[in-house]
Amino acid sequence: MSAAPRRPLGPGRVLAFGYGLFVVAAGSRAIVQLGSHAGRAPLAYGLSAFAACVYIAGLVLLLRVDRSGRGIGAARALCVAELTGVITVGTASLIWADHFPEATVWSHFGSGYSFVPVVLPLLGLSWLRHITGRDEPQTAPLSGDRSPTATQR
Amino acid sequence: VIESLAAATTFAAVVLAVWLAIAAVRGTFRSRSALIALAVLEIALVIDAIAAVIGLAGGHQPKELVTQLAYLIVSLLIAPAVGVQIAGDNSRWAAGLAAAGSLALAVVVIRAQTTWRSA
Repeated sequence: MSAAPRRPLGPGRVLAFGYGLFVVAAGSRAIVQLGSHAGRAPLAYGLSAFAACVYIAGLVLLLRVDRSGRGIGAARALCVAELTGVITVGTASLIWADHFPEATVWSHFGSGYSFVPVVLPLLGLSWLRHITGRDEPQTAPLSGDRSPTATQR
Repeated sequence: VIESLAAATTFAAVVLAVWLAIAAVRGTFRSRSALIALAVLEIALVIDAIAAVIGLAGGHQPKELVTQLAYLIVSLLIAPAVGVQIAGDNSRWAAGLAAAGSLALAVVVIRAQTTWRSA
């Protein structure tokens, strides 16, 4: 515990906490699944491990953005990759159900986790968008501008 | 796992989460009261975990022992993890973080209970 005065927590920190929870959830799930009966559903269990890695990367990148404001592009790329992963795995688990005899974290779009896995990257993207707008007001005008400069970083 | 204690803990964690969410919205959050509430929850969780260890030593066999242990350990870590982050911080987002933590705590306790019953 540090006694140094700190700035109050912001939304980025809350988001990072959410990612931290999912590092633990997905990580321990993958360890238990792969450690005790890896052969039962190798694809699903491997995807649990992959999800855990994505959440670790998300935690690190979001904390970096929250602390220093740097690495927004990398964090945004991670959120997009994560969202793509959730949608891909979620769809695949519905279409090829026989390849998913056991659930993985992103099965059925994360229904086992109250769909938080879908919401998390969306919240991440909206937060990153919010702070980009705040840091660069000249490139993110208030209304109607959809020019590519607004999203460049 | 003591069923009634786990149920009470779950209920308290949900109530705490709602209270914290309201405090976050209204901007009336005081981290001191949240820390006290989290400490009380933690005591209940420690008692419950001790009861679980005694139960396991006494021969209770949940279907997934490793999962059970993982839930027990995580249930003890969430409140401290929230506590160190919100200590001395009365901001709305500190309240939001604590609310998210309380909700996660409720979920973990419910899951631990479910695993425990599947003997």
